[in-house]
Amino acid sequence: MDLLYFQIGGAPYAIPLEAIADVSPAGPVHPVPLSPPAVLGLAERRGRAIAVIDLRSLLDDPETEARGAGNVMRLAGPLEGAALFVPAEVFSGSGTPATSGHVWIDGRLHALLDAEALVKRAATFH
Amino acid sequence: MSKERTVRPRLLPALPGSIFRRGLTNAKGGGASFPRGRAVQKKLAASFLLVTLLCTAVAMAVPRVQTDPMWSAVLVVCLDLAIGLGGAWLVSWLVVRRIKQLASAASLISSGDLTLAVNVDGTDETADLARSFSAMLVNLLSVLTEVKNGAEQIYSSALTLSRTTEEVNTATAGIAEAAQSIARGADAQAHDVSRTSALTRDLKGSADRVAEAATSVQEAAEEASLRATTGAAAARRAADGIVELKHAVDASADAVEGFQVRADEIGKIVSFIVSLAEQTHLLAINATIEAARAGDEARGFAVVAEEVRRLADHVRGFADQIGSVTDEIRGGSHILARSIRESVTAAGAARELVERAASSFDGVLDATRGTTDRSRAIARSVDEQRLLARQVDEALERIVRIAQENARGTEETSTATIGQTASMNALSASAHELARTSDQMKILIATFRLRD
Repeated sequence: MDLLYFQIGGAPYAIPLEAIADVSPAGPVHPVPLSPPAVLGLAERRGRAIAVIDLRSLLDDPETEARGAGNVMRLAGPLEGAALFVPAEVFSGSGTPATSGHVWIDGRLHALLDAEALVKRAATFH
Repeated sequence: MSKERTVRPRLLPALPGSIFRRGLTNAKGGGASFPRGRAVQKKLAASFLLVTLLCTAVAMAVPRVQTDPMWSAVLVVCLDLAIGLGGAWLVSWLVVRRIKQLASAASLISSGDLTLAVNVDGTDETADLARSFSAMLVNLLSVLTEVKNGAEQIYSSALTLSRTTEEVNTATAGIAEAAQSIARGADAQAHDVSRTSALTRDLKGSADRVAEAATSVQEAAEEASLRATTGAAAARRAADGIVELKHAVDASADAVEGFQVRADEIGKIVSFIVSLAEQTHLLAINATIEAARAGDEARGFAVVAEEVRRLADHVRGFADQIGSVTDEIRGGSHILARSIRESVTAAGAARELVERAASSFDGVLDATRGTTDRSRAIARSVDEQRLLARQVDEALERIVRIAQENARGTEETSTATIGQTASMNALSASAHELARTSDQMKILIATFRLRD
């Protein structure tokens, strides 16, 4: 299966390629008052506003500093109004499923992320 | 009768004869003036005639009164016997009375009382005897009074002489002590002077050594002067070399600065390449995403996108390596530039130091010239000092001789003082003996009771 993979706080994570619309360098993000803490704010992509979700908060690693400027992965399909902020470089590759919720990529085990579950958790995260 | 009167006068062993002779002469002169009498013979003849007449008268008168011849004869004999005995007693009383008085006076004189007065009335032989006795008493009194006065004067003079000899002895002891003190002082002076003389010789020796040291200082100063001249020239050459070195280092600093500028430019280019590689990487990922979305028909496109991504990652890796090498070069060039700047500063300081060293060498040169002059002056002073030390040594030898003569004179004084002390002690002993003798004489004379 095709995946995008990256590291947050030293831990390897992967997300299915079909869940992502595109990847772009993180531009300016405008904070939104009273939004959930996992939501960094609003950013502009191709003339549309998207909600940027901070993966560091959701993955219980809020202290990780962004390597370089970081990247924003815009979600595809019904979640296309949301994007995930990754404080690291993003790579593409193919992996083989391992135990539940994990995949093997280049001989290394990565935790497989579910975009829909991430968005829901971001909406209810306090 | 008191005890003094019972003391028998003794013969004095050494009474001055002049007093005696004068006294005897006076006594003899006084005795020659008395008249001589014959009254006792006349009294005896008259008494005899009277007794004879009375006996004759009794012999004629009694037979007329007493008729019995036997009783008359007995009566005449008894009466004549009584008349004869009465006449004899009367005559003997008249003769012996004055002799008894004189014997009593002689007894008093023998016990030492010369104050009594002898009755010299009358014209008979006993009166002559009493007058001679009285004259003898007067002469004796006069002699003893003179002897007493003389003994008192002798006693007083002996005491005075004894005191004087004691004072002289005390003074002589003081002189002897002072002489010994002077002798000791002379010894100490001789010792001190000999020590001072040794010190002076030491001073002379040290002056010689100072002269040698001054000579070697002079030589050392001349050598130092030579070396300072050489050193100053070398320091000036070193300063010139440092100036050239500084110019070379300045040129190196300029080159390093240019090199840094180039390295900065390389860094900027590498950053740009990294940025391009990152963008290419993201473009390749997005191409992969798009290819996946397009399905199996876009599989080839996906492979190309993957190759592009890998190339971009390689570029990124190389750019990172170039960047790190460039960073190292920049860091090294920074260190180099700092070292060069420090070298430039150090070269300036070194040049200053060397110039200062050159001027110090000049100062050393001046100082060595001064040292040479001064060491010559020291040598001259030391010569004068040696001369003075020799003069002081000679003067000290003279002082030693004078001190030895003084010591000898003081010893003679001390010896003479000891002799004088012995003489004075003998004189004092004689004075004591004289005082004791005169005291005994006074005691003897005190046994006589003289008129005040």
